[in-house]
This record gives sequence, C-alpha cells and structure tokens, in this order.
Amino acid sequence: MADSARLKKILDVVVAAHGGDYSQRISLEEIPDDLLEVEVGINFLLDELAMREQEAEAHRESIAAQAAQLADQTTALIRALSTPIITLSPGVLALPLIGDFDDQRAEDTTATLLERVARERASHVLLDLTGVESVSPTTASAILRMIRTARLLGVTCLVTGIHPTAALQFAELEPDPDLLQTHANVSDALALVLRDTSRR
Amino acid sequence: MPLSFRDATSPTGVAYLFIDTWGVIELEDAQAFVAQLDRPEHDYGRVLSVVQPKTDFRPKARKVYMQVENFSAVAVVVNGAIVRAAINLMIRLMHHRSGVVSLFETVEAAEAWLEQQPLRQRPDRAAHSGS
Repeated sequence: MADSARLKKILDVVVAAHGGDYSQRISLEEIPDDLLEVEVGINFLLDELAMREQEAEAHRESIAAQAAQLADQTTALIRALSTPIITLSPGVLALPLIGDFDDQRAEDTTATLLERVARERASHVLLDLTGVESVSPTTASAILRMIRTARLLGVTCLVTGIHPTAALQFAELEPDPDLLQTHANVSDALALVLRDTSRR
Repeated sequence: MPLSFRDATSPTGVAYLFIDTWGVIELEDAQAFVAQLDRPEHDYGRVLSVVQPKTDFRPKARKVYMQVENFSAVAVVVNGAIVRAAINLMIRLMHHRSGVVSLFETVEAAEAWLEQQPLRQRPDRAAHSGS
C-alpha cells in the first residue's frame, strides 16, 4: 500500500474515532518503516479508548444500580416512616395516618399492621385519621378493608379524628356500624380501651 | 498457552529466563509471565524473549507487560516488522521505569548483550545495603 493510501486510512480511522467509533483499526502490513510505528501507535490508542469506554460504561451501570438500590431503600424507609405504629400499652396499638392513602399504601399499611398485631398479640388498634382531611371512595374502602382484616384476627379497631368531609365519604359506603367504631379523639378511644382491657 | 518458559544459561554461564512467545497474548498469558519473574531465581534477573512474527499482544496483556518492573534486563529477539513496532511502542510507554529493554534480530546477539547487563538489586535489598 502506498504511503498516501496508508495516510488516508489513518485519517479515516482518526475521523471515525473522533465521532465516537473506536472499533476501527488500521490494517497493518509488514513494512518496516516509521509510519508503521505511527499506525501501531494509533491502534494502541484506539484499544485504550475502547477499553476506557467499556470501563466507563461498566461504571455508569454500577452507579445506576446503586441509585436504583438507594431509591428502593428510600421508598422502603418512607413506607416505614409513613406507617408509624406505636404501642400505647401492652396489646394496644395506635396507627396515625398522615397524607395520601392510596391502594398501595393501604396494602403496605395493612401488612405492617397485621404483622405488628400478630407479633404483639394486640387486642386493640386506634386508627387515627386526624392527619387525613379527605378520603377518596377508594381510600375509604381500603381503610374499611384494613379494619375488617384486623377484626378477623380478633382485633378491635377504633377510628379517631375523622374530618367532617371524610366522615361523609365513609358514610356513603354504608359501613357496618359495629365495624367502624369512631371516637372524636385518641384520648377518648384510649380511655375506653384501657377501661375495657382492665376489666379482662 | 502461547508462551513457553525455561531456565537458560549463556555460553559464559550467565543465567537467564528464556521465553518463547507466539500467537495471541491475552491477559492470563501476561500474568503467567509475571509469575515467572516473581520466582526467586528470576526476580530482578535477566530475560531473553523470542517473539515470533505476527504475535498479537492484546490491550490488557500489554498493560501488564508495561507494568512489570522486577527485571534487570530484557533482550527481545523479534523479526516481524509489526510486532517489532508494537514492542518498540510498549517500551516507550514504559517510560523506562524499569531495567533496560533492548531489541535484537538473533538470539546470539541478544545473549551477548544480556551477558553484559548488570543485575539490579531489589529495592528493599538496595536500601538495606545502603544503610
């Protein structure tokens, strides 16, 4: 191959590399001249660029995986913090609900609550809705389902702090009055529960 | 493996590690070379390497070769133009941190040169003898 053709090939490969294509290489011939060392040098450089690109890609993937893991942990933490179940006295739990309460959160909260009920052999749960201003029909159904499920485990759920708008939304679902035992505030409900438990 | 190693001695009785190299040299081959140099009888010793034409040092293997430091002198016998250019470039990229490396066309010439090369001391021993 003439020197001009070799130089053109070098330029083609350099242009491709500049555009981000590190896959091309200069085809080498057994011609012992200075240009051969330049050609080998460019091929070495392209090998290095390709290797570093692979390393950078692996690094990016690792960072993305770490970010995803961190996001999962954050979500789990937020879920845990948004379901703060407090033991008021042996067998009596309080669950204050704050913020939006969608199906997913209802499912998570129910699971967490039932796990605590079983672990602490709870007999009463005070479900405080002071932090929930209004509930959608779906949310109201989800809360009633949670109460019903807890009741199947022999737990009495007392709902406290229902806002007037939320009360209307619950009423539309016409729940079983025995199921939805409501009290104005947590202290009223707690007093009732303590009286009830001391009698046993 | 495209490398074969043997302990050799020059006509004047200088001991060295002989390496025949051919084909495609991958990372694990380069690591085998490093392992040979780590043997006590070759650590900071002399090496004579015959590299066959069209030998291809893969990028990761090249990196390993260029990081080797525990030798006193390496004589490389090489005849192919491409592999000669590649080795020349690898020597340049080593920045002469290590012992000397020189290229030859015959084993006899390489051996004669190797006989003249002094042995370097291991850095820990050199520090010891200097104190």
